[in-house]
Amino acid sequence: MAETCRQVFNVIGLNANRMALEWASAAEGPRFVELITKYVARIRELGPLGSLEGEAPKEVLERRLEAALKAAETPKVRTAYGNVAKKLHETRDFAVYTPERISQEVADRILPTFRQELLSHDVLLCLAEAKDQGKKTCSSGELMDLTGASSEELDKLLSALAKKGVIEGEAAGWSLKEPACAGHADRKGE
Amino acid sequence: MTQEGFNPHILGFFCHWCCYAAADAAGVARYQYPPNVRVIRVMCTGRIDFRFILEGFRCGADGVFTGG
Repeated sequence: MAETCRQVFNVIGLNANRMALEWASAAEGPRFVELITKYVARIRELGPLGSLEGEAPKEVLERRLEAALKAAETPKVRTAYGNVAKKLHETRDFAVYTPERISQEVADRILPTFRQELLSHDVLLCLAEAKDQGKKTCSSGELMDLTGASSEELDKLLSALAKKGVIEGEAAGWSLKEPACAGHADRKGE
Repeated sequence: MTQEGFNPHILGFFCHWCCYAAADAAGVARYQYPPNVRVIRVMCTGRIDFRFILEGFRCGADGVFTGG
């Protein structure tokens, strides 16, 4: 769980040190105090969200987190996550639960799926944002700057989304297709 | 780059049986610790999903601390 988070944070440009997973038993009050004090000092050092070198600005982070959240809920990502857990469990060997192995499995089996879903939601959010600002279309170049994706990746994704009928347009300008939401289309059919 | 007067918003997910009890014990024993953590008690650390942490950051937390 923590490893997935860390790797996703690297993708969206959030410093993974902002997240901590620590253990303190019920009897370890003093240890807890020490952990919390150290952690708060660390966050103070890092500064507010999005202010750090190598971190994306706050608005971008917020949009990407929103996309990540949507991506995390997709069946594809959930399945990938479950499959890794199952695979490790089926070895019946506790020795496989090493940080290196888990990190490897997450990078190989969860992250590619997650990244793709994240990107697709990010593109949709970008287009929705552009629309709210009164901009009719977004070119592939603009989307590339906004999402930080490579051009091949983005081209593939855009054509897939266009095929699904969620967006329309071509390389020069993409926009959300009207009616944008599925609920809208359903109502039409009634 | 420590900032003067920056009070981070930190979200804490604490296990009811471990960290939460430890925090309670620390309180009873009158230990001092920074008040920046807003605690959400969960019945077990295993309940926590990566969505919770993403959501925490999206809602504007500067850090998320999970204590088991």
